Amino acid sequence: MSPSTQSSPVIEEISFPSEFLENENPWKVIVWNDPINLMSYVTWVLQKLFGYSREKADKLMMEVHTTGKAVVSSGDREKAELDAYRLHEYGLWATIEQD
Amino acid sequence: MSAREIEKVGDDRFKIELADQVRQLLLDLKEMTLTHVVSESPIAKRIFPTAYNNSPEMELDFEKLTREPLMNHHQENLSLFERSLFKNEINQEEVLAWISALNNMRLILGTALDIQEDQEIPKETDPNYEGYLVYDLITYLQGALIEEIQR
Repeated sequence: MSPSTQSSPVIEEISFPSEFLENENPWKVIVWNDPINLMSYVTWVLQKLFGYSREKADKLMMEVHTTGKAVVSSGDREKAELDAYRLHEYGLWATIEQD
Repeated sequence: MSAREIEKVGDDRFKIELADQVRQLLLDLKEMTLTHVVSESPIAKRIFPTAYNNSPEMELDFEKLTREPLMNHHQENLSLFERSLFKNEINQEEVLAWISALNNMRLILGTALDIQEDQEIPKETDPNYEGYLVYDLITYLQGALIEEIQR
């Protein structure tokens, strides 16, 4: 597929209410610390599932380890459930919360 | 035991050099893990965690949707782990099944032993001493596989 050379139709700007925009990604997926999963395993899973860099995955893993939990992804409810399910497949203790 | 007993030797090839007794032990652990997974014993709760802590209704819906596929996922990985357990070389797909199977074994055994952060192996007189040694072994194996798959 190649870029279109035709001019785009004019689309009027739509303004959403601010409450809607603030609530755009209301669901967050939280990974909780547990004494069994290896730190290297948690980092590897976060990289593999979400495509995070080693640095970002390590930072999230350390947040889980030191504070007890970390938000690892967010989005609509369907996405949050899929992410939590995939984390459960890897044995991570993940929960879903609404902002 | 050294990390060289598990080694990436090609794009899709991993060398596994483990004593037959270790492989037999892993087979026994796989059976134990599968028993807990299919019977949904209380100890397997860690393998089927709660997703919605604050909403029993949403949790029920989530569980209905995910319980069966999650159980199938674990069973398939344990099955592939068993089929490749006595090979001396395994591929990437099998390594992923080994990592998953070992993780489930650690979750089941670790929960049974009530493993805590920075847990040390107890004295030989502890009734769970052998369980800790086995837990230590599968922790080592999983760590080595994670290291090698990222090379």
